Amino acid sequence: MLIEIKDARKEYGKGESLVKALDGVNLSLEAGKIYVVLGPSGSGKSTLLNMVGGLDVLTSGSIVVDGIDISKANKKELTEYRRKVTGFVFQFYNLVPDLTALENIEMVMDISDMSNALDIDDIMESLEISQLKDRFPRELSGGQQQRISIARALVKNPKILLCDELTGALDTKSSRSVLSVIEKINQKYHTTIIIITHNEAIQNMADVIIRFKDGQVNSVEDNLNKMSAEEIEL
Amino acid sequence: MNKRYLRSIRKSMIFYVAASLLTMLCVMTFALLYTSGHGIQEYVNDVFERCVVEDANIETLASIPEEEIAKYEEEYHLLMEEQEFMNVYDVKVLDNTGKDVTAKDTEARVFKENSKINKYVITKQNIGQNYESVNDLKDDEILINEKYATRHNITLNNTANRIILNGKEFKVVGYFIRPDYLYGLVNTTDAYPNYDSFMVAYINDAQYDSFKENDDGKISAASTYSLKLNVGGKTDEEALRKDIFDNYISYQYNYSQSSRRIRVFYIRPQMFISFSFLFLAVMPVFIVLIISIILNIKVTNDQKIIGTIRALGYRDSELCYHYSIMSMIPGLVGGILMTIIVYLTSGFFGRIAIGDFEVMSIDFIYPWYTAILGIIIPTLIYTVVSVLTVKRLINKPITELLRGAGKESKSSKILMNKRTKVIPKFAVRSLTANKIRTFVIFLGIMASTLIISLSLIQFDTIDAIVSQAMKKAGDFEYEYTLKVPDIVEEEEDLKSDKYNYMIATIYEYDERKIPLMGASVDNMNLWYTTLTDGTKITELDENSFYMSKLCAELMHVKKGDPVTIKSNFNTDPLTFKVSGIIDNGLISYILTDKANVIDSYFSTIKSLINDTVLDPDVKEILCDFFDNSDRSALDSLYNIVLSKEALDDKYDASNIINIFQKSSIEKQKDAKMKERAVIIYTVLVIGILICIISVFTIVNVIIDDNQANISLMLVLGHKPKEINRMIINCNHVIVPFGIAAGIPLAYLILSLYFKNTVANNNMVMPVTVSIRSLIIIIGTVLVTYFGTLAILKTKASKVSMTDSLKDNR
Repeated sequence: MLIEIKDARKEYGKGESLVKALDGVNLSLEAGKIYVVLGPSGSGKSTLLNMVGGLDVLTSGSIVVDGIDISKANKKELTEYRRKVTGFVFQFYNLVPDLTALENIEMVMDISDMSNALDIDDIMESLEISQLKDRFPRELSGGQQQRISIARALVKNPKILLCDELTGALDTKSSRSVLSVIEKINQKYHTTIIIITHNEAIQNMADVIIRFKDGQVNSVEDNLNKMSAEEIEL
Repeated sequence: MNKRYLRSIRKSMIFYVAASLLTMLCVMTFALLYTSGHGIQEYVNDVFERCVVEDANIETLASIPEEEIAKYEEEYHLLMEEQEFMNVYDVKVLDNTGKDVTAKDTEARVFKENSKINKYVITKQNIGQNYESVNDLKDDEILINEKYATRHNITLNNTANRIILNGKEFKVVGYFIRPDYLYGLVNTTDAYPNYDSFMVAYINDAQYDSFKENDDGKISAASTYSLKLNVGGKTDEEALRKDIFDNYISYQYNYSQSSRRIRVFYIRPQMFISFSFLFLAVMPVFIVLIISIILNIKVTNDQKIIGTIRALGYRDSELCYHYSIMSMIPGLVGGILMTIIVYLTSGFFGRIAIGDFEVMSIDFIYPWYTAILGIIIPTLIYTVVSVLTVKRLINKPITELLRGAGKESKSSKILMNKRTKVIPKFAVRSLTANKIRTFVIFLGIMASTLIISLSLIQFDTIDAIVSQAMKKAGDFEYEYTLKVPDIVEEEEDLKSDKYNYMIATIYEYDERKIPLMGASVDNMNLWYTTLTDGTKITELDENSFYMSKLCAELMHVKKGDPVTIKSNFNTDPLTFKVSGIIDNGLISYILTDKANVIDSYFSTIKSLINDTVLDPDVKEILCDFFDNSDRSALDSLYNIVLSKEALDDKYDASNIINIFQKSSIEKQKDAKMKERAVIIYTVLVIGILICIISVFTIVNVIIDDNQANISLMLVLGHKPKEINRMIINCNHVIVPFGIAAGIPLAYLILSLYFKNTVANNNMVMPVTVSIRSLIIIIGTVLVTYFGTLAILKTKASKVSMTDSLKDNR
């Protein structure tokens, strides 16, 4: 297993204002698959993403990624983990406005292990953004920005790609295009992909569908009718 | 919207605290200096008025009878009083424990009671004692100055302490002040006060007279006639002086302004006040500018919120009101804090400012009108800046505000196609694309450098002046000024390199005394004679009138200008053309041929030569000169001797007016340093604090500005060190520019300041910067800058990865 989550708990506040964002989550995720995590707002899916991404730490329980228990890692180790293991794609792209598309991607290259890194031109070509490389984020559409954001996450060849509502701010056409890119990445680089979304339609492209409710895993099911991104109805 | 005030303040607490502190510090420097200067000025003005400080005094060879004094008072609309005193050199001082605490060469200046001018006030006396006049003193009682008493462990209500004058014991029963002795100078031209071996005292008249009657050479009694002019009418000063000169042979007319004992009270408070305004002009300009720009950045960063609020239907005036209230906070809090701190510390600071003056009970109160202005002005400026910024944003379309779009500039595309790493690209664009922010950092560093430089360069300037003074005073060690001219007995002494014999008389210009020094070219090797053009004086004739640089600056003249000065004896004019300027900005004098001085000195009293106490040989030389134009013996006539060694045994003490020892210049430096130390150190500390707070504020603004970027970098796995390199360290490049601008600016400001205060300082002070100070200035700014950054180094890594990403949405 690539990711082993055992009795993961995350609590905020105290006493009456105690919020259990994760309430005893147990999950095992395999390498190379696409996982789509669904659930209503406040169900704990984003918290799970933050924990797996090493942005936050659990109150109790454990998360072991590729043999490393990140729930016990210190700040420095978590930085190294984020640097080497995970790639993030955000709903609002989070590109650095003062850097061009290419430079936004290069900023990850500057801190990555070059021996493991993928070829930028190759990725840009795959994502059809080669012609955008000298443009600044403000000069790009939402879909184009999201593809740059994916390229940035991907260039260091992470083991896990974490996508937080990656189509949330996009129109249907752009959403489909971005999801196709994600699918292509999974096929080409065998990257494990975890997609957090409200959009029920996206579950159709998943290998495994995970549903969250009240901080707990409601269901985990293999998608037997997996569709390509082009086929799903957004 | 009202709830937003508190939340915004809480969110930007560091900015509000830092901006308030900066506002407080910059107005506080002005306030403390102004309060000290104003307090001393008010106190001294009151003492001078109540005690009727003299406007001038006159010294005559013959004494003026009481009825003549009354006649002068009526005729010339003035007050006139003979002021008698004696210097007692046989002094012994026993402190409260009976221990002998007499310093070497202690001198007591004992006054006879005076009642019209320079009146004394008994400030403290023994419990139960209520003396109003010195004639209430018993025969064994004495009043002395409090500063001397406290320095020597002498307090009131103590029965053990004693002042023993010529063997006669006195008990100290009270302290007094006199307006012309609030600064403990032994001579009016001294540079530094002496409270270790010089005291002033009053005993009753009977005791005073008995001392004089039993004078066995251990005391020297003297008297001057003090004048208070323009009483009940305008005094014709020139006519008065001629009248007294003709009848009583006046040989000195001293304006109170030429006495350092009195002049210091016009200069020192003025120095504090002028420095306060210098800092008021310099510091708030920078600090208020820094805060205003930061406010501008903060309001501009709020443009999405402003767009949203406008979209909700808020009026422009409501928005302006909202932001102006928030911007008032640093001004109001800083101003109020400043007022409280100044109110609490002004007494302490003022007492330090009094420094080497006589003990004064001054209430240092920060004038209410300046306190109110200190609060209102910064508050108003911050409010106006915010309102203007909001107005600028309001003029943008709401959609643009909601997008939060900023202006695209060419500089944001800098290094676009260069094959360099992203970190330096980001750093360079961070500087060029955020010009205002870059400018604020530059301003902060420059303001700190400027303020620290202002204090340290003053030290250097004074230090350099002393070194110059030692050089430009000449090669002698002692200068003796004689009361009555003498002649050189040995012919070879006139050619000796060890002694220079000069003759001087006193002239005046604009109430300032100027010595007219007469020398022979063959006998002035110990005198400094280098001109400002680098050449040396090689000839002196009847048309040679060389002026020292200080004298030329005070009179606003240059080489070749015609000048008229007045005789201090009888106001007769002397007109000449300036032959050249001697490169000496520390002493004011005119150097000419010896015959010129003798001519002007003695021709005024030619008819009285036979009545004076001149040596018969001197009289003969003068008669030959005036009657037969025989100049052959003039070279041997002198009243000033320059020597490399002490000549105390050679001259009768009663004929020596003044002994100047060159090494005393070092002490003058200490005195000058002490005068300014309070200002210099205060400013130095405030400069460092301003640097810390400015850097702290600006770095916080940068981090706030870059919160989304930092958060993203943390998520992408950048290390705190790498983030600091991209976001904060790029500003290091601005630091040298800030320093490079601050030091020359301080130099320029001080040059202008010293140029305009030549008269007050009584010296030309060319601004000097030493390598040592440069290193200290640069070092202090760098240490403060990097020290502050070190405190903030973890700040960037504390930005929340999850929260700031949410904020970004």
